[in-house]
Amino acid sequence: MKMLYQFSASESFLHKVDPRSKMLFLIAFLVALWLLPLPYPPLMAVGMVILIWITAGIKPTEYMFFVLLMSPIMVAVIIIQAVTGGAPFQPITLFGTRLFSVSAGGLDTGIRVAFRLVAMGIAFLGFSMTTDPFHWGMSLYRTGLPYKAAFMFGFAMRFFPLLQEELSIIGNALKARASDTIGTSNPVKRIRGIGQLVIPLGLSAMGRSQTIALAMELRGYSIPEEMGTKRTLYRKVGFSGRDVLVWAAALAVLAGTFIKIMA
Amino acid sequence: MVEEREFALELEGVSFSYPRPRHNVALKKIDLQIKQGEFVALIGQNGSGKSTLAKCTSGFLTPTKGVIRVCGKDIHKVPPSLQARYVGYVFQNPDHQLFKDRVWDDVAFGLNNLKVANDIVDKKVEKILKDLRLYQYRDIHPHRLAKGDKQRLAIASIVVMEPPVLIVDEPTTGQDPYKAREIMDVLTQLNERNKTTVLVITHSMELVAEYAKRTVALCQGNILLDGSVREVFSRSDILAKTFVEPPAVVQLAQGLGLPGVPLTTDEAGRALMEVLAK
Repeated sequence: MKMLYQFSASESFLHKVDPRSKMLFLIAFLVALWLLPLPYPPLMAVGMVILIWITAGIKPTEYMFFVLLMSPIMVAVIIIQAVTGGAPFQPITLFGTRLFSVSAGGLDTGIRVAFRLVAMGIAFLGFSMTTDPFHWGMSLYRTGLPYKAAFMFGFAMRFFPLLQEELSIIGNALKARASDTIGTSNPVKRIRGIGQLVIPLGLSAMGRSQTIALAMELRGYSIPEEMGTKRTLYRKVGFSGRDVLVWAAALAVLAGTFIKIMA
Repeated sequence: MVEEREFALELEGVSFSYPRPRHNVALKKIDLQIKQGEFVALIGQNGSGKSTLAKCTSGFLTPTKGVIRVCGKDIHKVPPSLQARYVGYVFQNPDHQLFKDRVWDDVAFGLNNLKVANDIVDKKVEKILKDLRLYQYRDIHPHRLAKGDKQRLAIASIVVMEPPVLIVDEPTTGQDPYKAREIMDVLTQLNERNKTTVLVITHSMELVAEYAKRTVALCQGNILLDGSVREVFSRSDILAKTFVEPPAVVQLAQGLGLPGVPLTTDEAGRALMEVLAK
């Protein structure tokens, strides 16, 4: 199972596409997702899963945890919309017996919003799983973002999975001390558990970031600024033929969406 | 109450593979039985599977195959909050396992979770803090302690819960030889007094020679050697496969052709005198 936002290197098509092109496609996908009615959002969620599988070689089982994490939110959104939506109402029956009525419009909205959320999540996950955080940062640098801001951005993205791993270790340490706040279904206990996790996680993250900052300075991180010299990049950051394909796909998604809406 | 049995730990055909991106087979069909009250050292090169084995045994990782029983119970069928009653685990990094804002409260945290009466908590906390020379720091924030003290505090916090099985992952890292011995002495006391089964993961062969009664050497997810410390250290040719060298005194004795496997300088001295007397 993959941690959220965890990048792993590969030679797949999607891994090699420039982060800016991927972001462009992502924006086109999100525009289509939020403009198109049912049944498109569920189809687009499934489509994104297949796209990630084919172009990046990442099976859905690797990020199933995310979908499972989203499922209670999806169910809640559908129920709230179905209960609070207006007329017309649709009866829900079981073996011919009418149980209760729900708002037909609300149910439609709930399903649409729920699948939009999960499709968005899968799309962002696909992006983060196939994009090296530093490559992403450096592509932003190439686009004009100051180097330190771009580096910090890439570093923050890299830090996120580390924090998740640390959170898991601290959770295990809590279990080792017989704490019943981890893995419980009681929401009050869970909130108490989060409170217990925050201190070691925060202190550890601060300690780690201070050590890393010092280690970076020891390796001359600030020298170019201090010397007034221009920075060079070790890895090539630029567009290729693959990116043109992705731009074309993004345009096709946008065009298809507008044609569908106009029709 | 945890039931007393002959074996504290029983591992049957335990395999474990880490998923992608780390993807590797860390344990390969491990069969291991550890009796109640044994003091076992788990040795082997980095990546040999020591910590994975320990984490599977503690219930933090679920084996891909096989069963792990702690005091007769399949540990993976015990609810997470009750696992600590069976097995205590001290992690390598103390920063991950200190939760309270006073040293005293941190040690008491686990006992409070176990619903131990407050007067008993106070007695136990005081004793363990004194044993590990942490009593003078009892009102300090745990994160203000030096790294070695934090490591001892993390050990104290688990040891105080007196689990029937105690797993300690590299307890002496960052400790000077004197403090390292203090830690090992506490583990030995616990082992002898309470019959706690102790499993120590360590790279310090000197401490293994001095404190452990049995040694299990792992190599690439397999058990390479399993026996008394003397038996294991006598097979330096096999130990070399997992990049482990016996303590210097054992190597010296082997080099001099002394009989047996002396584990301490005293033993080596006596063996040398015997040879010279002949």
